[in-house]
Order: sequence, then C-alpha cells, then structure tokens
Amino acid sequence: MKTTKFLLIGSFLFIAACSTLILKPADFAWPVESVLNVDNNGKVDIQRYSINFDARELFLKETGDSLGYQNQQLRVIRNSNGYYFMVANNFRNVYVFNNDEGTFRLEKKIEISGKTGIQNPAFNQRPPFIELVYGENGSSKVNLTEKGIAKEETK
Amino acid sequence: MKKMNLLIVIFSAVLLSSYISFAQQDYQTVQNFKAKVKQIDQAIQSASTADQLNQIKSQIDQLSSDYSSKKDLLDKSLYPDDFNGSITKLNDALTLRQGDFGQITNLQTQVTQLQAQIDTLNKKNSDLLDQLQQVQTQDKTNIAKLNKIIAELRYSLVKRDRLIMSMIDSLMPSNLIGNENLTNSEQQKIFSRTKKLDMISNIKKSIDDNIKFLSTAALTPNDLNSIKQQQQQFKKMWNTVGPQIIGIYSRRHEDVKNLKDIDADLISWDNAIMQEAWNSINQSFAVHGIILNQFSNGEEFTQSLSSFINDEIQNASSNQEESKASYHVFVDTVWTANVKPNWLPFLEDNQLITSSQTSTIEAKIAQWKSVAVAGSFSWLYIVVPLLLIIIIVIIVKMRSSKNKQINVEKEI
Repeated sequence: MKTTKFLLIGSFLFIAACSTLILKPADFAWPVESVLNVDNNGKVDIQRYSINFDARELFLKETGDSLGYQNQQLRVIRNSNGYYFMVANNFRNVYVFNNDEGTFRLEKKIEISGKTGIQNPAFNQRPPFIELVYGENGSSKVNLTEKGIAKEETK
Repeated sequence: MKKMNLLIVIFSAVLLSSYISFAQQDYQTVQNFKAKVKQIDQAIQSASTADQLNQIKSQIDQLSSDYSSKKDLLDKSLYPDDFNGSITKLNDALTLRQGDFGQITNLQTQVTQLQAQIDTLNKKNSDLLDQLQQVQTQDKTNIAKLNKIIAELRYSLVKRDRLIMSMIDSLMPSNLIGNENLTNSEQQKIFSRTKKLDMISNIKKSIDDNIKFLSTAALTPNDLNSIKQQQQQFKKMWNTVGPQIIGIYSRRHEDVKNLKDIDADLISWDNAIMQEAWNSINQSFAVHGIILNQFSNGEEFTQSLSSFINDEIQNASSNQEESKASYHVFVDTVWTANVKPNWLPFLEDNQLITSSQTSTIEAKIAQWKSVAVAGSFSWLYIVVPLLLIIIIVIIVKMRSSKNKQINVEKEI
C-alpha cells in the first residue's frame, strides 16, 4: 500500500514536472504565397517574414542538377499548422518542410505530376488546405495538407 | 438526343470556363492590385490638367469597386498597408494634386500679369536709358533733369527686377526647387512655362540693363549698396534655380548660350558695381578740380592719392599758397567731408580697401598738412608776438604820458 502511494505521488510529480506549456489555438498561415528569386549562391530571402535559407539542396533533389537553382523562382507558403510548402516551375513534387533548430526539415514530398512537371504553379491559402493551382491559366488545382493531397478537384 | 448531348457539352464548357476563371492566384491578385495602385499614383503625379485628375478619380473608384470582394486577402497581404489604406492614400494624393492645380492656375494668372508689367517696364527702361545718354551728351548743364531721369530709371529697374523674381517664384514652385528627381513631365512643364514667358532672356536683359545703368550714372554709396543688395538677391535666386533650369534647357539644347552668359553677367554686374564705386570717388575729386590717376582697386587708389599728395608736397616749397589752397580743397572739401565718411565704409564693407591702405593715405595727408599748413602759419609766430609787443609798448607809452600829464598838473 505504501509502495502504491509512493508510486502514485511520484508519477504525479514526474508528469507535472515534465508537462509543456502549450498556447493554442495558433494560426501560422501566410495570407499569400511568397515568390522568391533564387540568387547566384542559391539563397532565398523572404523579407516580410525575415526568413532566409539555402535552396540549392532542394533544387538538386528535384532536378538532379547541382546548378538547377540558377535563374529559378521558388514559391513558398505556410499553412495554418506551420508547415512550409515549396514548389518551383517544372517541379514534379511539392515539398513540405517544418523548421527545426535553424534548418528546414523535409516532412513530406507530395507528387503532383510525375511525367511533365508542374507548369505555372501557385499556392493559395485556403484553410485548412493549401491550394496548388497550376497548368495553363490555372486550369488544374489540388488541395494539400502537410500529409499529402487532401482532395483532387479536377484536371 | 443529339440536342441533349449538345446542351450537355455547352453546359460543361460554361462550367469549366467558370471554374478556370475561379482558379486564379491570390499572389497574382495582390500583385495586380499593387500594380494598379502604383499606376494610378504615377498618373496622379504626372497629370497636367485638372480634367485628367477628374478622370483619375473615376479610376480610383473603379479600382475600389473591382477589388472590394478581395478586401480580406488584400488586408492580410498588403503589409504594412491594407485595402482601405491604399485607396485612401490614392484619394489623398489626388486631393493634394488638385490643390496644386488650383495654386498653379492662380500662379499662371499672376505670371501672365507679371509678364505684361515686365514688358512695359522693359520698354520704359530702354527709353530712360536712351534719354539718360542723350542728356549726358547734349545737355550736361541740366543736372536736375539728369537726376530725375536717373532716379526714375533706378526705380523702374528695381521694380522690373522684383517682378522677374516674382515670376520665377511663380514658375518654380518651392517643391520643385532643388528636387533632383524631377519627372520628365515636371521638367517639360518647367521648360514650356519658362520658355513661353521668355524667362531666360528677361533675366539676361535685367542684368545687362543694370550693368548699362551703372556705366551711365554717377551714384552715391547708398545707391551702390542698394544695387549690390539687388545683385546679391539675383545671384542667390540664380544659384537656387539656375542649375535646374540649365539642366532642363541643356537637355533640349535651348538657350545654352544665354544660360552660360547669365553666370558671366552676374560676375560682370558685381565688377561693374565695384568699378562704379571707384569712378564715383574719382568723380568726387574731379568736380573740385583735383585730377587723379585712374584707379580700380585699393592699391591703385592709395598709389593715386599718394602720388598726388607727393606732387603737392614738392610744389609747396615753390608755391605755398597754391599748395595750401589745394590742401584745403582736397582734405576739407573732398576727403573729410565726402570720401572718408561716405565712401570709405562702403570700400571697407566690400573689402575693396585695407586698413593699412587707409592708414597710408592718412599718413600722407598728415605729411602734406605739416608742409602746407604748418609752413604757412610760421610767419604768425613772428608777427603775432611782434604785434603784441607793439600794442604793449603803445599802452605803456600812453600810460606814462598820462602819468606825466597828471604830475605836471599837480605841480601847477
């Protein structure tokens, strides 16, 4: 009985000590995507949100070309859960990142167009989704979450 | 059945087209809005008539109406501004510009009136300058008439110069002066207005007339001080607006020679004022029969006066009376009564003479005095005591004779 009491009190104290302060709800959504020119060193700078990072690895992974970042535009948007969605013209995938101690960590690679690549992509904020519009005159669109395609509307 | 199929195809096409138009990019919407705001703002700044501004007002209303359905998106995206803020800014800019146009209309009316007055004064000044030259050459004895023309011409020149400066103020609003980023439209406006009113020629004519006036009239230090102030105001005005006007005209290859001349003419005007001061001083001596060597700076002035005095000192030994008379005219009538109190302050203020040069002249005058005046009084040192002795002797003699007479009477 004493042992049980001791374990109960000990567990309570341990849980209380380890609990994390959580502020909710929190909405991280950007109202509109940022369209960023990749500089000669592969860097992009999102001035409005004071974020900058090296995008060379992303272009290397997508194109297999170490200079694939040159003269490219990267489109970035953040959803309400705080995940970053990135795409560029002719990418076959949308990349979903989370931030992690000074880095962007890939959470999900969402395949959109395996053969031809995504033409004229653009993100719209459509909570709870990120809408990807692409094709000529935005003829196609899909709703995305950090987990993948939520619902494909049409092509 | 075929009709049914056709209807389905048409319906599908309409549905698809409406879908396609719906699938627009938020980013593009925001960029389009920003671009239209910028375009309207530029149109406001470059509008050249009030009618254009009225048309822009309807464009702002149209923009507000077109994008009101996107207000939420724009409010979030137009950081640090928002939708209403952007429209308000455009309306504020429009109102401000409309105010400018009201001011410009007033100024244009004012400028037209000024131009008419300047034309009249230009003609009047030319006539007066002609009259002045005529009187000087043909009717030198009529001093009153000469002075009247000089005074009238001086007044008329000052009035015309003020009108020209008012016109420049009206043509070059303060917000454009010194602005290095004038738009092509603003530059064109300044060019066409100044060209239409012949501003460059008027400035040049004004300076030239002033220089001509200086060469035809003998002036007092007060006159020259006033003309000097006028020249300084003109110079300041030209230093302020000149570089912009030169830039605008040079790009159009217009009036380049006149523009270059204005800078040189301003320097000539300044030099003419200084030369007129020396000429007037020389004239002050000349009217009393004292002919000095020409001078045009402090050193030459000192040398000229020193040379004259040296000659007089040398002449004093041979003709003391004449030297003494000359001394009185030179020192009492001209130097002490006129040049020293009237001209020396002007020369010193304008750094035309140094204190050491003034001291040199004063020392020369003192040297002359010791020869001409002290020498002429030396006989008094003999005559006056002699007279005193004679008077005393007479009085003593008279008293002694009187005493003798009393004694004789007593003895009797």
